[in-house]
Amino acid sequence: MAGRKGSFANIVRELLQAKGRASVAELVTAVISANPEQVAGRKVRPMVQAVMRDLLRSGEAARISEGEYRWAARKEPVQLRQKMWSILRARRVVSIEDLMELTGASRNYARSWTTMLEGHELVRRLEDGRVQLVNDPVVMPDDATKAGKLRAIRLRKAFDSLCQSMEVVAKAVKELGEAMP
Amino acid sequence: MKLNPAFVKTRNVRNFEVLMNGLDLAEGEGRFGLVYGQAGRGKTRTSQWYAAGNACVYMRVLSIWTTSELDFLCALARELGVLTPPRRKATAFQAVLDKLITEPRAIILDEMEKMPPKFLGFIRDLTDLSGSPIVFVGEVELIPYLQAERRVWSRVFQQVEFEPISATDIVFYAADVAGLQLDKLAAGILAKSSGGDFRLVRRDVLALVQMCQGKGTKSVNAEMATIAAKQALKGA
Repeated sequence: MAGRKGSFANIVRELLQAKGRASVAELVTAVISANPEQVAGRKVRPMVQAVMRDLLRSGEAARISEGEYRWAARKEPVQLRQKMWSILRARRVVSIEDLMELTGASRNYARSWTTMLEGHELVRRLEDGRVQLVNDPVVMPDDATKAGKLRAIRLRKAFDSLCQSMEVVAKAVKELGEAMP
Repeated sequence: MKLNPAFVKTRNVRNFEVLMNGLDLAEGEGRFGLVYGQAGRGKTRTSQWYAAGNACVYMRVLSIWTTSELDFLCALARELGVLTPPRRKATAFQAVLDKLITEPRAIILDEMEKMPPKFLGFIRDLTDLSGSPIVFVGEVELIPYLQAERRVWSRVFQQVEFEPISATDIVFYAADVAGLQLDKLAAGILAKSSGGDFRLVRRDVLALVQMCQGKGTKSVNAEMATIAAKQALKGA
């Protein structure tokens, strides 16, 4: 959960995120050195401790030992195509049925996803229908087809909206023209 | 009748999930998990399924790394998303550690028992310094392999043995993937003939699907199970 930009809680959050793990003392020192004006004349340690309590409660931080914490970005659900990518990388050769079984994807989605990878020349289709990873870029490639489709939909919507606006303007101009003496 | 590829949560899979949840409880502490059992019981498939669904790192240990800790570390770094891992041992280790600290994830190492015991030293350092759990998956030889290193064995917080697939699991599996209704006796016959090997059960269920298609039924009795078990190729 991102806090208000520049707030004390957000400063502590960003420091912990950047460091990965830190003790309260380290965070206090870092806060003072990074924002001397903001904390001048204030008791920083209890403020940091209060923020850490909130971060622990929200699951953004985890306690390693007494007074020492680490950043713990909350787990977000893994996307289906990311799951398929993990399975493909782990097994190297997979069938559509493997992807369906291990990720819960539908047959159509698994098939179109592997076809997309074929287009990127990352996999090749074997004679028995399975696909083999032949080029491993580690990071999952973007689905350019889907991005293209979304771009086309956005353009179509913008065009329709523009046409409607033009019709309204044209109608108004016509009405104004007729009203003029 | 069609086979519907479905991942069935057998008792072993549920135990695996309990192990992973148990490791989560000791967050921030160096710790290991241990998953062992005979071949064909679904350890690897379960590990891959869990890793994909929970953003964990799954890595199958390759024999070619036996002589090189650097190759092992580079492969691990790549699995963690370091695209060009450093080609020196200490810096590769640091790259893995940095990645684990900024993005804590559980690591599942399959067939770790292939590696010389000296590898366990820096793997212990990795889990201690990063606080990320590491799960070893392998056959029964994995236990003495880990026990030989006392400091490693003492960090094994959770362990699960993958047991032979039970008759109950076979009933659910056949129902989920093919909609077959196995009676207890039929499931017992398949469990016994397969010796608890999941791959053989799958093959038997396939044979049953064909048999049921021919007979136009979805109910499987002991006699059909015996025929299917006899038909299937054993000893694979």
